[in-house]
Amino acid sequence: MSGSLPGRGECSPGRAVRDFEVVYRANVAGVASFFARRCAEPQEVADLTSETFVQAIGSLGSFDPRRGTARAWLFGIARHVYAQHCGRLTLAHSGVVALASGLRLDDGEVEELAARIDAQGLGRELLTQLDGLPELERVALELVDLAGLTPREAASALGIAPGALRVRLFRARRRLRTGKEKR
Amino acid sequence: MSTFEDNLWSRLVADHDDQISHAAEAIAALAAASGESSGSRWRPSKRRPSRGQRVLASTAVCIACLASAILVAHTTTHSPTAPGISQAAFAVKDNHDGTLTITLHKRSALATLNASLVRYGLKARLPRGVAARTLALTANCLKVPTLPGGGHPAAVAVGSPHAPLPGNLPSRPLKNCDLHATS
Repeated sequence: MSGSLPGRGECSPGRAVRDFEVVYRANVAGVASFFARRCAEPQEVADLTSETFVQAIGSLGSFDPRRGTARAWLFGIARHVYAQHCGRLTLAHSGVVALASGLRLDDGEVEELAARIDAQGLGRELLTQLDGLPELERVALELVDLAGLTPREAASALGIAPGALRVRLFRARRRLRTGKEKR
Repeated sequence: MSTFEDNLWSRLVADHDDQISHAAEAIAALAAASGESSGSRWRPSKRRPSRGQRVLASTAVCIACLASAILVAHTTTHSPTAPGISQAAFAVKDNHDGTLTITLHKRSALATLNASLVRYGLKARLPRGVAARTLALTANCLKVPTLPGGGHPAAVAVGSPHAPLPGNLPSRPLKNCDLHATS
């Protein structure tokens, strides 16, 4: 991929769309799976995946390559989008606000996303097992062991130092092992 | 590539083509960083403010309101981009008195509103528990501080957690300047 990247003076609008498409296609499945581990409804997965990329487009100017990779940046946004979604869900459950669906999905898309949700069943089960852990430990383990991010990327996505991430990861894995042995 | 991913990409390009095209350089950096999943070296941000800087930054939050008012030279009504959101989902109005009035008719448009506010370095948050469906929102920053030498800063911005700001200004989410419902 890096061979096709533009130099500083070669940034054209058409090139921008093509470059962003490369980033999108490299990460959309991972982002959708991140939400598929958390949501039971294809519509939710679709809306949250879409919102992640909409927010990414809205903050393109904020991306700092010195702080991590594009994938880490997108997962950081995805995590934030999910937190916002949970806030909206709380309001919806209390009757304060009605949730609106963003994307209109055709039957094929619904079926495809439902299959993705099913495929993330093990991941969802793992997250359930880790339910009692601090959120940072749980997400650290998920990003590295399920989403396939490197520890450095996961640290960047979570906004913590790699050393701190490794400690969280170690603790989460140990607790997971301990829990299995007890069962 | 799946149907959902293809369709989502088409929607993103249709709705955000301008934003993508205008961020060519940022996207080039993003695309370059997407190929460095394991090679990039995490560094703590040199611009991460100390506690004292964060206190100063909280003052800058109010200044940001002025800056955004300067930047928004005219009343602007942005077209929402997410499918399913109507034409007048939100509006950003310069009151010419150092404040902006941001009207959000649909909570579901908050992400899109924020995407449009990113260029001003602002981020809107909805207070929880507000029942009104149509919210007229005003930035809670009516006092406009002046610089020690007099005059107002021309470009102070408050960014998202990922945002590097113009002129190496301190970055801080707009937590102390949340938007409040007035109706």
